[in-house]
Amino acid sequence: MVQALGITKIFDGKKRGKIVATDNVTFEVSPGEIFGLLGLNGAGKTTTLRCLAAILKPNSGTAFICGIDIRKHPEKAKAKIGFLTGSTGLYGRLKTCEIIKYFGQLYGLSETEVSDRTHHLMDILNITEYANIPCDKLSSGTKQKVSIARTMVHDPSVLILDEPTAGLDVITSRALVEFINFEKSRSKTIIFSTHVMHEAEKLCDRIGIIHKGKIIAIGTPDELKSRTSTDDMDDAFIKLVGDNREDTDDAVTY
Amino acid sequence: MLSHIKIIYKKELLDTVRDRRTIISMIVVPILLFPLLTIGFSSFTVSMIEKSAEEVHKVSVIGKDYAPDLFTMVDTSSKIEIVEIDSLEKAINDKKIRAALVIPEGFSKKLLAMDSTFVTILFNATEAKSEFAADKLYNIAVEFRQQILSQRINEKKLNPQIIKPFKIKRDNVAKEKMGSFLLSMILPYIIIILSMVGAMYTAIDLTAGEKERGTLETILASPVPRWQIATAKFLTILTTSVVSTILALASMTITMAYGIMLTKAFVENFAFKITPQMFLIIFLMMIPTACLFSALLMTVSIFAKSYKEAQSYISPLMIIIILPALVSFIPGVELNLELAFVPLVNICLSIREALMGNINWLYITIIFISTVLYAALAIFVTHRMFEKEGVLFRT
Repeated sequence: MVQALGITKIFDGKKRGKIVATDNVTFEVSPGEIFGLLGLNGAGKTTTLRCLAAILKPNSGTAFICGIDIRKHPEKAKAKIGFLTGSTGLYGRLKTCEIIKYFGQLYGLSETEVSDRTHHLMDILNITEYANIPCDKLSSGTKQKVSIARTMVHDPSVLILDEPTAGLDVITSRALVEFINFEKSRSKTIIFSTHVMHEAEKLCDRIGIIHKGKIIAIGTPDELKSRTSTDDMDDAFIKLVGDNREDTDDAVTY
Repeated sequence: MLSHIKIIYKKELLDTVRDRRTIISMIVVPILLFPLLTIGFSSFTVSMIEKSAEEVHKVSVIGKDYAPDLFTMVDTSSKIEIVEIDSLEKAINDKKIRAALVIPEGFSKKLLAMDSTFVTILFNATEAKSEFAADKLYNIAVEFRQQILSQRINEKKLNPQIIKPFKIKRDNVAKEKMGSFLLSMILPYIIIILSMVGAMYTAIDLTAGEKERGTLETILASPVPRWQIATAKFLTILTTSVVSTILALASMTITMAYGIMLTKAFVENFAFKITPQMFLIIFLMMIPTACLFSALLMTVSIFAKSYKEAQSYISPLMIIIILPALVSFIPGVELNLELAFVPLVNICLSIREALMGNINWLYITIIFISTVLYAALAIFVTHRMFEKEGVLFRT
């Protein structure tokens, strides 16, 4: 369960002055639900997700992760979250199994738990053969699978995925989508951001459209389409975002 | 709590040890630099000295007819070649001859008449070889004068002691040779630079490098408080710095102790023993220095967005550190109460003093404590930087 309650994050850039990256962002996601955060580049998706993951501290508002306030107990909240971004790197000189083990230890798993989870995840992600290969030597698809294993090592209740399919080929991104659906069936709370409309439409139970730091619409894909009298997610999105589109350059990707 | 720091520290260390650049700057350079430097330095200077001492000096003698005996002494002495030349000064400056002896007219007659007279030696003081040649001519002239003196004493049947009431003996009580004095100027500088260079790549790799690879966000998402991440990273950087320093010190001590196997010239001119006490003092001085360097390097490179940017910030930092370290090359500067508080200058001078066997525990205590305070301040700043979102997510 994730509750975002009025998250506002302001960046005080020296060159560009004050930038409101997210403005009173509020939504709720239940276990077993996939929530998509849809927006243009610079709309505030990444900032929202980073605030939820307690990586950034909101200026006002807060979020509850499984009932834990991220402002009061950021470390406890983080322990419930698996956080993955499309741009996540891996430690190139470490072997696949070492990376998974490292994060397992950081999330407080015991030695046997770490080794059980490592074997299990490598098995379902089909990366066992790469266990002893340094990450630098892996293909980008395999790297992303290792990142998933790293994210899932502590079996988190909440998954926060920031454009996880960015830069992946069709087969790897399909594997990722299957994986997200699998985790949904295990009653995980899943939030993921994207700017690929059809991906969001296919995968998400509900979609929140974020524009210039504000949530401008929330609903199931069908609701959003009928609200805008369109039968295509792209059209619905453009209608909702509407006239303000050219101003999005003012926002900043943080 | 501590277990998180330990987990991150262990991982960072493993990652560091697998990085070839770090291994070279942390292990290979400190081990090899001292033997190579001391052999190179000593064999170069020694060979220069030997070469000029053994060289046959070309000299001119003007007015040989006025003192044939003196001329014969010059002519027959070894490693001197007499050259006939017209313009003396020009020839010396053009290095055609190294020195010249000028005997004035009527020199022998004046000697017989016991009139006062003189000979002149011309040379170029800016040329070591010219000085050697002039010394040689001077010694011959002195020997000739001594012969004349002995003759006169014999003729007068005087006691030889009449002109030599007593002898003067010169005993050099210096604890070290000139070469060791030179080395004691260079070594502190090198140790300080090595302890910085050893930690440089690790500092960049663990901070700006993580930003560039996109791994920093991942570690920040883990349930570990930021100060613990910062502490673990700092300890890793400190470890590389301390390892470089210890290896450099060990290599230096061994080079000095076993220099005999390297070159004979080295032992005769340069070798001095590094006692356990010297070793301990240098180590004591370098530990807080390594803390200071690690914190400075980490602060600068956490601010950078990329590896390259961090390197360009570290270059000026390097110069700022090299300048005070250069103070060990200034022979006149001695450690005093004020200088004992100047960061790095104090470290550099105390190591130099220790190498020369001058140990002042009061200064050592002051320097140790002040450097610990500077290091603590730098560590505090690093941790503050690591808490700042604007620094960690700089775009």
